[in-house]
Amino acid sequence: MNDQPICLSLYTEDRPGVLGRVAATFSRRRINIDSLLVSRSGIDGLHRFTVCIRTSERNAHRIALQLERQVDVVSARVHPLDQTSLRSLSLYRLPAGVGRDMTLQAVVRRWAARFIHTDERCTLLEFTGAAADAEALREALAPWDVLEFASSGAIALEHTDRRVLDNPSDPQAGHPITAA
Amino acid sequence: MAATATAPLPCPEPATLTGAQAIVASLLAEGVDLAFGYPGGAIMPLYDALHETDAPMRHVLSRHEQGAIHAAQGFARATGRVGVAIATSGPGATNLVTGLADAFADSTPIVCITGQVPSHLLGTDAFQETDIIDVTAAITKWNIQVTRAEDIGPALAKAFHLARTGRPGPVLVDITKDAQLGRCTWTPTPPPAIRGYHVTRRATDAMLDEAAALIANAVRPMMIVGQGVVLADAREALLRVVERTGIPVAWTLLGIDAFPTNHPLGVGMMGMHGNYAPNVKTSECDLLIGVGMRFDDRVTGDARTFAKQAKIIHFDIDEAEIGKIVDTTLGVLGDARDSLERLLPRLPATSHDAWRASFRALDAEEEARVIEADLRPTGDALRMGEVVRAIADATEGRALLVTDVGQHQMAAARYGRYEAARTSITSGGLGTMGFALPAAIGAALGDPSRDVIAIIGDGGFQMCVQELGMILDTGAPVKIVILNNEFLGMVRQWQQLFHERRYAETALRNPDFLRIASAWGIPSRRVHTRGELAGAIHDLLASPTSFLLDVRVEREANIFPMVPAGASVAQMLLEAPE
Repeated sequence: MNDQPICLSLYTEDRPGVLGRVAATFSRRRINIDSLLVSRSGIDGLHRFTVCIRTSERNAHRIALQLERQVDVVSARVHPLDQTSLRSLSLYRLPAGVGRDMTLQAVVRRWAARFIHTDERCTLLEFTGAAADAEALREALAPWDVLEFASSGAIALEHTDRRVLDNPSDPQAGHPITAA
Repeated sequence: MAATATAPLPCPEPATLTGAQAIVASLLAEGVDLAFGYPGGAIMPLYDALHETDAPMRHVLSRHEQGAIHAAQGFARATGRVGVAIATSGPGATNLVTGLADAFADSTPIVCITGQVPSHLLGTDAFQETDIIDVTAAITKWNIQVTRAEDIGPALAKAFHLARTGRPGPVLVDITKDAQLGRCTWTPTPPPAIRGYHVTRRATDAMLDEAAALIANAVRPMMIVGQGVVLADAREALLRVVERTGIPVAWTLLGIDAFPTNHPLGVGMMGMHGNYAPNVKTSECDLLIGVGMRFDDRVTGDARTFAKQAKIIHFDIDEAEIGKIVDTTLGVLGDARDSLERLLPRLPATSHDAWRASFRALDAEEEARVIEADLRPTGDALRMGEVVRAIADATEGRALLVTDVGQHQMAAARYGRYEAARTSITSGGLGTMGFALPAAIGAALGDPSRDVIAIIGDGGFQMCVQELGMILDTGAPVKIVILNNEFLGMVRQWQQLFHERRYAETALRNPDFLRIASAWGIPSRRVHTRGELAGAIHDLLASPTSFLLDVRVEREANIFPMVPAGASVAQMLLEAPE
């Protein structure tokens, strides 16, 4: 049904069990979570969930309402992807010593990646960017033998002037965030 | 309670209590005077506190935790108050699961208190430890585990607030044994402010103006009302809106007592075994107004074909229900009573006599092909419909009918009379066999002024039959009518219609129900013939105590009309296809 990449952000109470309730909202509809990141939100006592899935836009908005029905979910918002920047952090473990390779150094510069650790056992490379770019960099690094790859879930911010942090009202975020 | 409490409860002053005493204090502060439950290891401190208290709170011992929670549900649905069920950890808690799922599906306000192993044993697979928070997350409006005595008061205040407000639902509070044994300073806790919970949202004037315009311009409007009308105490407001506009009103199974059964604008029940006219007319109306209902698949049949020609207005308190199943032209978010009362002055006085009259041709067809045989059968065997109608006539639609799940439930819905709010309790969304007997007991104890009649199939009666013990203990004057066809009748009906009469495991070899009743001290009668029926119903209703009728009905009768599962409601069958 016209599945497309969807990114939602939630503000939730910082309580045990919230993660399970959020995850179940997707799993009972047989929607696989591509990435999920939970972090502090900048608003006191609230956590921020960033969830990336594939479904129809219509379904996504229905799911947002189902999420908001949860008592501990303060707000849920489906981001307009053409007005949103998504980033994730990726780490690549390469064999020791490859950092001296001029060709690899050129690749690292071109991708704006950086070496964060090197010793006699391995070399670690860090990249921040869109998930597709992280994947493309992994392919570009293939000649140097990527030993391990790890990537965080995406985080997202919209291109907007509305103030969410410290502001008790977020009129575009489905429902107001009101102080307890 | 007297052993260590420093003041009588409830008390405005801070009191030093054990956690278990704090639970009792919180229950009293919430106005709880009746709870259902079953003791066990991890909840023993609470039972000790209940035993010691001299506060006016009664505990009724079920014979299985499922009976306790269904009784709490019956209490809640009969009274509109929050029902309370108490169980121990592990199996006690997991035995509540069916009732929680039932209450969640049917928006029933209950608070369940479960004991839990001491907090230092959490996560160790201790004896009778179950992670009931995770187990019940999908079937509770909210749940919380409490591990410190001082957190008990705030947790219970929040639990009751969430259970009873907004769209009501079940809440579970899991309290470790050390929290019950610990000490705390208990003070009354006001309802908490909850950031993610919005119970005060009202329909906007713009929404109501738009709804009024859609209604004013409709030529063939119809309304489907659900339990939300009863929950919001909106029956009178609904009646005024309907009588001003002349809009025909159909009801869902749970909305059966939202509108007077015999009102001239009442057109019957929607859904799989509902009435013929309202189902067919959903394919002809130009405006469909849902009030406090959720377009359940048993109501819509194939939702892709449901009322496609119509504009749809959906009044509901739960925003997640609006647009969930059917595409709505206008969602009106808010309490049904508030919305309807504010809608009324916006509506012109109209009538839709010709449209209303067009339902009657279909009514006549249903009468001739279905109802006649159900109410005035020519064969010797009793039909469920005539038994229900005889009870409805004898009680003039004022009794509270509690039904289980299956053919008898549909017969009660089709042929009962419901002349006031809260005259019907049934397991709708979950369809829980075994629900009716304990729910009826809870209802009768919650509202002793009502005649409570449990109409149950012979299969469902045996699922919670042990709860006759609650009648033995309490003397609850629940009247029990078993419509006994010695089959799991609805499953057998489907086997007949869709599985070429392969009656796999649906025939029941039953015990002697009169001897069962007798074992619990309940007088009873068996009814075989039509001639015995009136006298038996007289005995049933005249009995000052509980009374049981074992009514033998036609073994292989079917409930019609019927919308086959997944079919369009317009394809409703009036009889079995050849």
